[in-house]
Amino acid sequence: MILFFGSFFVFLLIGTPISLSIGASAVLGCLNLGYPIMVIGQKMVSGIDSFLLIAIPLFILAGNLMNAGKITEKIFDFSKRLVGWIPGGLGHANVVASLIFAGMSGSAAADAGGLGTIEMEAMTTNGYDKDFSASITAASTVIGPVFPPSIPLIIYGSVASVSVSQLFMGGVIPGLLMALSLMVLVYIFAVKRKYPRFPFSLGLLWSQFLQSILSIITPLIILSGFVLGWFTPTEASSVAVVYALVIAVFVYRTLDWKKFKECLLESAITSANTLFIIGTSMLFSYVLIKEGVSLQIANFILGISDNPYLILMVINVLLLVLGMFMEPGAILTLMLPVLLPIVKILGIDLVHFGVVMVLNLMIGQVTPPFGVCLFIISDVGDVPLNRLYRGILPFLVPLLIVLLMCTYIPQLVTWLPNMLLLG
Amino acid sequence: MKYIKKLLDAFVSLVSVVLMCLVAGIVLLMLNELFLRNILNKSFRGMTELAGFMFLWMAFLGVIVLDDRNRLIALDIFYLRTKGAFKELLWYVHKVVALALGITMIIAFAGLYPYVSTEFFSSMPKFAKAWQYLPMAITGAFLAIKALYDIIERILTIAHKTVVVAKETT
Repeated sequence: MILFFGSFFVFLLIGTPISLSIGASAVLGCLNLGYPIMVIGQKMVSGIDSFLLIAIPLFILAGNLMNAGKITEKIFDFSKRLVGWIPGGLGHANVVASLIFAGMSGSAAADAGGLGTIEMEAMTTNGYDKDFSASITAASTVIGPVFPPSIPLIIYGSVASVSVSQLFMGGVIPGLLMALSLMVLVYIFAVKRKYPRFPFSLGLLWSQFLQSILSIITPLIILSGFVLGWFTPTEASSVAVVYALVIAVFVYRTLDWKKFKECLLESAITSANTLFIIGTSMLFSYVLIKEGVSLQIANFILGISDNPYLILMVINVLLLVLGMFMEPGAILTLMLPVLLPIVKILGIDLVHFGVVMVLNLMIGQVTPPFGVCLFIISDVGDVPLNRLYRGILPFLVPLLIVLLMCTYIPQLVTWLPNMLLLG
Repeated sequence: MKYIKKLLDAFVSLVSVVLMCLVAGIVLLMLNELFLRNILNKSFRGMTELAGFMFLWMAFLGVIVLDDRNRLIALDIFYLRTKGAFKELLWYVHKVVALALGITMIIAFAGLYPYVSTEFFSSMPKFAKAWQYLPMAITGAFLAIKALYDIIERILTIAHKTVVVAKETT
């Protein structure tokens, strides 16, 4: 076991790709513990062989098509007209645009790399300082994987055997709360620093609405499809792709054949990055379970207290720390076999736990020093990491408040799915 | 070495085209299933099985392009701050890990083959489960060959530089 864990941490720390680190240490563990070698292949493939996971490349493709087809620009222009009149207008537009984009893609990286560039450029040219623009852009990308559709929630649903439609609906209120809390902070900053705002014009808002209506109603189409039972999450992803393709090609005429091919390839390899991590993590967690390590960790956590609130706090801290270092797909696959028995013993709703877990991991993605989204924003926005580290800290406060609210008020997560899908 | 490089590049280009077709194919299959179920009130399990099969190929073959472009996600904050011989050493460790995992994936496929080469475990008629495991072996082979190529190329470059420096000093 020392070889198994030791090699894992060493490979990870020296910068070996995460999937290779997990896979190689799991292989060392398997060989050292005398497992048959065919288990390695069987677990790697079965980890990915899930119908639900098919939605991942397709939602990423939808996001890429929106970016390449300049649909994201329309979304941002509309958001600017809708909330640009509030002090710190472009900061609010940044959050609202991320929320609308989240309703179609579900990938923080697609938000950061595509929409994020447009948002930061618009903010800096309108007198917002670069650190603030980059920080609010990074913080708002976290909404994407919580608000439906969400790639981490699909992975959670696949590993924990929980209805993805319920998880998606469970993410709606937390996603909205995150957006609202970030906007409150933007308002405070804007008043303090005297950031500019746009004059409100109903006529301009209406004309922008008419221009962007096809882009901004996408989340509604996807959500109503789930609620009315028209399509499954996987089918919804293909609907999102075709919808984005149709409006980019036929309505806005902004997507050509070359860009389309690039989007297809980019979606395949971006999702392969996550999927290979899931496959190797499945082998890793198999070793953990077989050797009883998962059970020992579960017993240790349960031994701390029998108070579910305290245990949830412990799990929150654990996931926040892990989220800072690792890819969410890997943490979900590695930690769920440990955490699910605890959650079941404590009688915590699995939909509630899934949304809280993803919220945790996403906050970890924008927490210094290792938050992955910070690296992307630093790269696309040309902002030094140390400045982004300082800038992002205030934005973690509202996100952590929402996390605490969702952790201790389960109805914030469970009310909507219970009402729409079970009631 | 040049020919091997050309061969690897051609293979990656081919895989890129296959990946585009696979993603487009999955979208079409999903839409077809949606149409059949909602409009014609029919559902073919074969469609979803095929989409799942294409998805597995996409997931593994995608790793080939990622590896070729050095885009596999890594926690490289420490690695990027290292310098000189130590960085060089870590680079070799990365390559050896990729080589070892690649070889293991091929051996694992070979071990599984007797069990998955028949239709017995397959959920698709006349389609052995081995086809689902094959992309793992192909990806493993690429990881191993590419890592080996990179190692040999680096050693040859260093050896060449040493010879040039030695000649210049004499």
